Amino acid sequence: MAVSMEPGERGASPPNSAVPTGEIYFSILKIGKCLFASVPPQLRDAHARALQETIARRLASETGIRGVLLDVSALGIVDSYAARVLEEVGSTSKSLGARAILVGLRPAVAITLVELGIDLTHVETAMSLERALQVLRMRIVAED
Amino acid sequence: MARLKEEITAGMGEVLPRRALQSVVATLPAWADTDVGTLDVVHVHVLLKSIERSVKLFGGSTTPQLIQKLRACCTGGAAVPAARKRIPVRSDADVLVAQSTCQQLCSAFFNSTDVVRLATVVSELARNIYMYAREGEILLEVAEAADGVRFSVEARDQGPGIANLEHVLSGAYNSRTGLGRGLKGSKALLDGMDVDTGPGRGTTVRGWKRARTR
Repeated sequence: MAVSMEPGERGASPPNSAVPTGEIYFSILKIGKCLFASVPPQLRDAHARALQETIARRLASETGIRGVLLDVSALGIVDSYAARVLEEVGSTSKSLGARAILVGLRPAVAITLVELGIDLTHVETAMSLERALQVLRMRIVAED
Repeated sequence: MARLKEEITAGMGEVLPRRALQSVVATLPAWADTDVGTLDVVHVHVLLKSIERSVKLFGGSTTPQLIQKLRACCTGGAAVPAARKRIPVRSDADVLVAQSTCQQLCSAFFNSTDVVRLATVVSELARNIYMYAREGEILLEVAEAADGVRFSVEARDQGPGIANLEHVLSGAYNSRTGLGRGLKGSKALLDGMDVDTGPGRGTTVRGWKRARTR
């Protein structure tokens, strides 16, 4: 799903920053009562805002979504800013009636977050996609 | 000034037959085609690893003594120059540039978890500059010290400064960007960190970490 930035937002970013103009693309797929979103490897401010908005918009427009699974396996570095973005996605989802779960956090990133003193209180985490679906009490059943 | 490749060929002596030796030298990275004493500590390390690997592939073997000798060939007997990078910080994109520059600089000497730790620290410091001072710079350095290889970072800006540093570092402070956690956390991820700041005189943060010998 492509999100084009509103003019007001683009004006708010610093003039010399090379924000990719036009569209920022996120893959957000729906599976059952879940949204599955991939977080891009490099989280720029504009990306972070767009990610939050896209998920909020999808949750508001589609009924019955129970969970938001965020694939964070591409994130090699999570600093306190990126952690806050993820937490905000979590609390936005919560206020729209869905649980946000981070899937695939890298071990080195998890270690660093702990040492940094960040505990990601507002989002849940799961080691694998299967575990995340278990947490949401969802099952994807094969036909045979 | 002596050419590096010639010195290395001479330094390797009888480790491999002449033809194989030529091949090893021919497969060295392009930046190795330079004068003796110009490579920095990271490049010397990568070069020696590459020689070690390719000698092995050609059926020879290297000894620690030979590697020491080749290291001396690289430096011409002098101290190895430190690897330095300077990243101006003016936008949120520069924060990401600082992250990846740090990762590239440190990956030769630090294990992968430490690389993530260091890049996270650099990211925190760069973001503080961008958020609070709008403009500043990050200086990264990997240098040989008495106790092994050492990474240091310096973040400088001419911004408003931090008025209540003690409070911020105590962890009681929580800002809109997470500065409190960021600065305190950075200290925890490093071996040491100094902050020089005050209202109206900008902020300079210096931090360092020693590489664990691998």
